[in-house]
Amino acid sequence: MITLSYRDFRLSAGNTQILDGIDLDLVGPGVIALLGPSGVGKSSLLRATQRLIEHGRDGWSRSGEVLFNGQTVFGSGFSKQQLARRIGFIHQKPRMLAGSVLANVEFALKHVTTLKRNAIRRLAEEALEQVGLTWELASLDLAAWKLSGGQAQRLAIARAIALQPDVLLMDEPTSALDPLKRQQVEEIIRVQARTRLIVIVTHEVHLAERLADFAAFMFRRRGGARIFEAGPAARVLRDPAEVAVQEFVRTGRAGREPGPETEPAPTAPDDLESAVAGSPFGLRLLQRVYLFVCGENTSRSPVAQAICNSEVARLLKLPPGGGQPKFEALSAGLSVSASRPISAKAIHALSELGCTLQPHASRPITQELVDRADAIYCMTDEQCRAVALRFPAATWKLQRLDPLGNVEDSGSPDSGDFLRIATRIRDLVRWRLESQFRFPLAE
Amino acid sequence: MIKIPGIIASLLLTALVAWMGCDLFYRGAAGLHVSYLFEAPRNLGRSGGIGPMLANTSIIVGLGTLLAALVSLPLAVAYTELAAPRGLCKIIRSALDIGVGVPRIVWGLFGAAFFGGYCGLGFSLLSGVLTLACLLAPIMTTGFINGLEMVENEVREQCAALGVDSWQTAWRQVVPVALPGLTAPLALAVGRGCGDAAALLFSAGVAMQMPSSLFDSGATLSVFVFHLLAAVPGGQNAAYSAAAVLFIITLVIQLTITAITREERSAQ
Amino acid sequence: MFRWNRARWFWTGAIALGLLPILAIFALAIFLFWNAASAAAQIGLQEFAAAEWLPQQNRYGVARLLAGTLAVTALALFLAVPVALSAAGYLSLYAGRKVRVAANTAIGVLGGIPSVVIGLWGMTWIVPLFGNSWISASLVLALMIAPTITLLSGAALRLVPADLLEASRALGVGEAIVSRVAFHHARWGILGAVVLGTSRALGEAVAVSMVAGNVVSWPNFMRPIATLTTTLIVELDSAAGLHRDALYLLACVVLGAISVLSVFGRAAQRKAGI
Repeated sequence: MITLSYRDFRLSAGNTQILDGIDLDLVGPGVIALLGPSGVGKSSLLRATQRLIEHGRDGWSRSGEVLFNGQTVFGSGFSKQQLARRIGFIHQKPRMLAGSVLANVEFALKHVTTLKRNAIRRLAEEALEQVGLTWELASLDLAAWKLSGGQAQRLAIARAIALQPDVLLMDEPTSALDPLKRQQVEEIIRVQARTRLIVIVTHEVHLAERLADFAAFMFRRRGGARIFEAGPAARVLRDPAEVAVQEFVRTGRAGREPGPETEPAPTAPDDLESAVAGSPFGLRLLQRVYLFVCGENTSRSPVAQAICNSEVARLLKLPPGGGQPKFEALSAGLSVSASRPISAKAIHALSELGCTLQPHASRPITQELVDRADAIYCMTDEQCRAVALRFPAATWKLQRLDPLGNVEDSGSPDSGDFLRIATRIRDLVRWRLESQFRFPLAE
Repeated sequence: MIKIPGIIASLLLTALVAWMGCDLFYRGAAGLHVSYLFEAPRNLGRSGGIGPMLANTSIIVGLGTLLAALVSLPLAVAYTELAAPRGLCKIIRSALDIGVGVPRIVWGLFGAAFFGGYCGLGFSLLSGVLTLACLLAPIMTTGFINGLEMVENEVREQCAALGVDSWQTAWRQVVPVALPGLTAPLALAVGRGCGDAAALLFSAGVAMQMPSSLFDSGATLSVFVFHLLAAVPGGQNAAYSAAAVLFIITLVIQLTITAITREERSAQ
Repeated sequence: MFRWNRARWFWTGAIALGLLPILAIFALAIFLFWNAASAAAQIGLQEFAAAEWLPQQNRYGVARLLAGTLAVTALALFLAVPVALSAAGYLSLYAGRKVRVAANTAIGVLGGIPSVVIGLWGMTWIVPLFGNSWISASLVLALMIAPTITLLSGAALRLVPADLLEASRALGVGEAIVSRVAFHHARWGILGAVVLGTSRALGEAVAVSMVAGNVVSWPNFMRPIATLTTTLIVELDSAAGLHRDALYLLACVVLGAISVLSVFGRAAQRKAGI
């Protein structure tokens, strides 16, 4: 458990009082949204937490406590370097450092830790993969200043998470991005929120609705800014108690479709049904073509394909195996020499999991399949690389099914081992589908 | 209203430069022969070449600039990157402002008495190098500080947010970005060093043969010209040739500086 | 685990190196004051303020030298400042980019030409016209400080926001007023430029000594003149004992005046934002 607490925290610059007694208890892992009008002092709060604003420098003065896991942040227990390793900060418009993309991520690792070069490179590459830049860029040696805005934002996130902090502070992470890039960044945040406490400063209510577990509202009154209301996001965003917050939330929602508010989704996959039931976008979102890729297209990807079909059919209460014209789950393999049926262990696993099975013959991955798919999920990173090499135009829709690890095939035809893998695949597919509900794409 | 006097003034200044250059070459042409740059001077400098003087100039200016840069750059980086107390910063800045304004003859006085007399170096290249370094250091430091302050603060903040300490931030991120602005003070210093006569007259001396060690005395080109005019009867003609070479050196350095600053401006 | 301890060592080393220039400046000041103090003690204030500078007869009066320095500098400023400011005004406000860059380069060359070369040119062209005199010295000095003033004022004028000038023009005022607006906006930078040019003039020794005649006397237009700095350069070689210390005293006076001007000039420039 990660905790970040503010106790009567005050901040002033010169004669202006900016923050007037902030009291907040944040618990993680999870996503916390710090909401409020622009210029109220949310960014200053975050900067002060990471000690980018120091008491006594440039006319700033602060008082009060900030406790990270019970330890005060400002004391001598934490040097600024140690603090940066536990609490990361990402600016609104991050600045690219000199050098290549890889060098940017390795820079902090090299000068803040004492790891060897190989370890640093590994951490850097992992971080870059988690933000999805590995597949999207031709090479990691690309000069960092050539990146587009969305890519730069993700590189900044990679830089920060490479140090593996417990807390990530993000200042308006998606304000400067177009909707497509926003979705990518939001997805990254969701993944990171499984293991870290993420505090997002934003003035957009719908971002909080989609991502946050906990929300706090900050407003400015004479004498500085204070927290007006804080609590679980579901309650605070749907039913705020304070008048100011009600106004803010209502105007934040103006222009969007009225309807039942979506529950902010917890990470457990079982709420998929309620997510579907609550979302006004359910049907439209599922009009996608998914392509699952593995090595031989006899075990993992057919299982994923079948599960995907079953889950969607169950959710939409359709007869299994089709019905929705625009939805398809496909599978293909990278190294398929001859067309083979699905393996026995896969059949066994699918029946255990309660999925109906369609006739299947393994087929190799082709350009036509790649073009048709809206999203391509590979099982391991090697496969991702191979696909990216073969079909460079499709790297933007390419991902690993599990962004945090590989889904390896069991070596033996033994069904017991494979059942575990199949269960894991099922959870991952459910999670992927659930993610689709979270981010209604602009049509 | 200002256009007409302005145009006249600009033309005047530009014409003077051109006039000066042409005049020097015209009068010095007689002495400029093929091996002028390599020969040793004869007849107390009234004829022959300027080989040793060029060697002396290269050694003194090269080593002096290097030494000055070696102490100026750390001072400039420490001044801009470290959070020093206000009082100390003001003292350093005032010291630098004074240092920049010290006339070269006064540095020559100091160099002669301190390096030459107190340190026992006498008239020597080494004494000249040290004196020149003292003279150039404040100018270089001020130039470096200006160049470093032009780097936006976001780079420093980004590195601070990642936990990188100020030393690494300074040398690996700020200095590389500021590099174009840091080369101009270097070029300027080289120009000052080449053109300096007053400071080196009393520290490096007026000897006109090829130096064999740093402890030998040796005249740089400017000192040579001054010596010819002030102390050698009939030396005026030879002085023109040497002065023509000096003019070319100045021209090259100034063009380099213009090229550097133009590149820096377009790179921004 | 963390590397921040090393940073402290590196910074300490850098600061140690970096303090050397500051030390040199302090050493210079101390050295001068030390040697000058003994001279001052021996000579006494009244004698120092007297008019006669005759080292052979132990007369160390500095009045004529001071007068010489002030006269040469003042006339040089009188000649150089109008030329420099009009050139700066034209180049910064009206000239096209190519013209400006070319002219600035040429003027930069003029500013970078070693004093000996300018002195030589002065000996060739100015001395035949005006003799070794106050006027020659001032002309040569004007030639040397004009580029400094032009380039620094030009930089200050370039900082004037273009929309300010456009707004003035849009109001229909004549160009004279527009340039006055620009000069007023850049006044601190221009002041700084002039002050720094003056301090350079005060310190110039080589070129002036080649054309001034170096005869200690009251300033007179066409008669030879000596300044503090020319005396230094001419007499240092052969000076010993009290004479030498008296020269150090002269250097102190020069340094003191220049330091005050330098600090003030740089402060003015910083105020202007350069």
